[in-house]
Amino acid sequence: MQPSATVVAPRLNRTIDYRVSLGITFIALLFGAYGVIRVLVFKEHGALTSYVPWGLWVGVYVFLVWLEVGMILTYFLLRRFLQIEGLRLLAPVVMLAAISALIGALFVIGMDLGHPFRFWKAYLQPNFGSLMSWMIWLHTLYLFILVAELFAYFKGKDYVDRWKIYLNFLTYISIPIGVLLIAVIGGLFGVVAARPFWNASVLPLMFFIASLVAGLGLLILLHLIFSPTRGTPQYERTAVRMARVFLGAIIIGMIASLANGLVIAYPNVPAYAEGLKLVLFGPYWWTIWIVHLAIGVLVPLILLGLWRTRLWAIWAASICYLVGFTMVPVNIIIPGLAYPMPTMEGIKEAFHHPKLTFDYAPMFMEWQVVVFAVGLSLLIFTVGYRYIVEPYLREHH
Amino acid sequence: MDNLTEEPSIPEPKVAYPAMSGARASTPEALLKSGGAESCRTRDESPGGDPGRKQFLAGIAALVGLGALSMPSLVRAGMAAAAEDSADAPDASLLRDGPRFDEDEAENIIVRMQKELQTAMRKPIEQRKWVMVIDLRKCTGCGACTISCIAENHLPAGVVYRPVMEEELGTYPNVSIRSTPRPCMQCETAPCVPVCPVRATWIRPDGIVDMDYDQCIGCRYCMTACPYHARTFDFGYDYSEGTPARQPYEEVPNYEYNKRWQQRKGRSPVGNVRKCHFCSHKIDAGMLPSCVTTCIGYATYFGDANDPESLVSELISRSNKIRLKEEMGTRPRVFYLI
Repeated sequence: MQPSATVVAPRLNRTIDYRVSLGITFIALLFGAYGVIRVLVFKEHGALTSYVPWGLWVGVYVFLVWLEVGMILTYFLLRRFLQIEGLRLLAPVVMLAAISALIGALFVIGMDLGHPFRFWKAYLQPNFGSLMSWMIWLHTLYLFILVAELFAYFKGKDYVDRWKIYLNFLTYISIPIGVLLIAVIGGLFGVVAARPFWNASVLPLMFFIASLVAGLGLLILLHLIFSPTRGTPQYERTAVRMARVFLGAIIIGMIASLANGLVIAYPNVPAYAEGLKLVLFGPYWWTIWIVHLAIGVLVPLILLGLWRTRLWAIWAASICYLVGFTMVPVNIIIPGLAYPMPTMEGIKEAFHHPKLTFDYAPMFMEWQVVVFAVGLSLLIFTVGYRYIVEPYLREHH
Repeated sequence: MDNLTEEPSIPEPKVAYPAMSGARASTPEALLKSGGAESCRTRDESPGGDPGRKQFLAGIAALVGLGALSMPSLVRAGMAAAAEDSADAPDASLLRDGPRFDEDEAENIIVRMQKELQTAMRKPIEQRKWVMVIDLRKCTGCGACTISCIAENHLPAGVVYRPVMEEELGTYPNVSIRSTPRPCMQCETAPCVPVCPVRATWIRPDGIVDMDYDQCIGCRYCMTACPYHARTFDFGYDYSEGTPARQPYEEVPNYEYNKRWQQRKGRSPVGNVRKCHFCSHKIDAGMLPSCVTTCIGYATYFGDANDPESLVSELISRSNKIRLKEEMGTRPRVFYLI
C-alpha cells in the first residue's frame, strides 16, 4: 500500500485544535511562571535540602529523557525489526515530540542548578571524567541531530529526499547515542558509591528498560493521536501490533524491577534496604503502590491482556502507563538520598536548620516549575506541529 | 606536653582488683569471708603467710590504744595516707579519658602545632600532607569548633562545615554519649572530585579538597557523592531571615580560598556547594584552623603528616586511631582517636 494513499488530514490541521492546544500551553506557562520567577529572580530552590539535594526536578528530568530517548529507540526498533509500516509517516511527529521532551528536560534541570546561567562552563571547561559532562554533551549531540532532522522536514519533502542519505545517517547514529545517553544517566546514579540504594551496576540497564517501555507508551499515544493513517485499517492494525509489544514490554519491565527489588530486599542490609523500605512503606508509599503499580502497571496489564485489539483499551492503557510511570524516577532518586549513610546517623541531629534535614516533600513552586517545563514542551510541540510537521504531511497527502 | 605525645603512661596499680587476683578472690563468697580485705591485698604479699593481715590487725590495735591520746594527729596522718594511696592508685578518669595535661601544657600543644605548621610551610606545597586528628575521648560535644568555624567562614544559615554528631550509647543505667565532630574528611581519593562536571573542585597538592565558587554551577552532584554528608549547599539563607533587616555581621565578607566573598543572593558562594577546607586561607597564612585553636578540650590536632616529628604523626601512628567509613577506601585525612 502506498503511504500517500493512506494519508488523511493531520490531527492538528484544524485551527480549533491548534488554538485549544495553544490555550492549554499558555495556561500551563502562566501557572508555572511564578515558580520560574522564584527560581531565577528570588533564587529559591524549593524544599531541597543539603542532605536531599536532588528532588522532583531531577526526577522529572529523568522521566522526560526516558520518554525522549525511549520514543526514538522504540520507533526505530519497531520500524526496522518489526517492519511496522504504519509508523513510517510518524517520523516527524516522533522527532518533534522528542525534541519537545528534551527541551522540557533541559529546562527543568537548568532550574535545578544553583547557577543556571553558568551552564556554558560545562561546554567550555568540561571534566570528561564526570558522567554528568558526558550527559550534557550527549544531550547536546542529540539536540543537534533532532534539530537537523526537523529542519529537513521543515524544508519539505524534496529537501528530505535530497538529503536522505545524511538524514538516515543521523537517524542511525542517534540510536547508539540514545543508548549511551540513557546508560550514562543510569550510570550517573549507579556510580555513586556513597548512596547504596543507587550504587548498582544494574541501574543503567534498568534505566534502559524503563526508557524503552515509557517511550513505547508515548509512541503508541502519538500514533493514536497524530498518525496520518488515522481512519484507515492500517491505523488500527498498527495500534494493535504496538499494543502487543507494549504488553510484553510492561511484563519485562515488571520482572526486571521485581528482580532488582528482591536482590535489594533479600539480604536486608540496612544501607541498601532502607531506600526500598522508604519506597514501599515510607510517607509516599501511595506513589508506588497506587499511582505506579495499580494505575501504571495493573490497569494497563488488565486492559491490554483482555482487550488489546480494542482501540479504547490501547488508549487507556498507554495513558495509564505514562501517568503511573511519572512516579518511577522520583521513587528512585529521592529515597536514595532521604536517609543518612551507615555510621553517619548522628548527622540528622547534629545541626538544626530546615535545609539540613533528610525530609523532603516537593513545594508548590517546584510543581509550578514542572508545569512550566511541560508547558514549554507543549508549546514547542504545538508550534512545531503547525509549522513543520503539518506542511510536511500535507505535501505527502 | 610530652604526656600527650607519648603513649599514655598508666601507673602500675599496686592494688590488685578482684578480677586481677584470680579465682581466690574473684568469687563473692571469698570476698565475704575475707571481709573485703581480700580485695585489698597488695600484689607482693604472699597469700599463705598473710603478713599483711597481721600488720593490719597490729596497726588497728595500736591505733585503738593511742586513739584517745593523739586523735588530731591521727586524723592528719590518716588523711596523708589516704592522699598517698590515691596517688599510687590508678586514676579511673585517666583510664577512661586518656592522658591529661594542665593548662600550660595544653597551651604548649597549640604552640607546638603552630610551630610545626610554620615549619611545614617552608617546604614546597607538594611535600606537605595536612591531617587532622580528633581525640573523641576528649571531645565534650560543646560545639565550640562548630561555632568558631561558622564565625571564621561567616557561614550563613543552613550551611555547616563541622557539625558534631552525638550518639547515645548503651541502655540505662549503662549509658554514655559519644560526640564526633565531622569536618570534611579531605579524602585522598575523594569521591566528590571526579564527579564535578566543570572541575570546580580538586585536591590541592597538600591534600586539601579545594573549591572554586566562581566555577561551580551548583549541580550538587558532589553532594550526593560524599559518603560523609560533608558538603552543604548555600541556599542563600540569612540568620536574620524573617526579621526586619540583615544584621551587620551578615554583611561582613569571608576570605575562603584566599578570596573575598560577599554573601549576596545570586552571587557566589550563594548557589554553590560549600565545604570545610581546613581553613586553608589561614593555613596559607601560617595559622592553625579555627576549630583547632578553639577546642576547649584540646581534642583537635592539626599538622603535617609528612613530618615524622610532628604531633599528628605521633598521634596517627597509634593503634587506637580510626577513620570514618574506612571500608570505602576514600582514605580520609581526618583521624579519630578512640
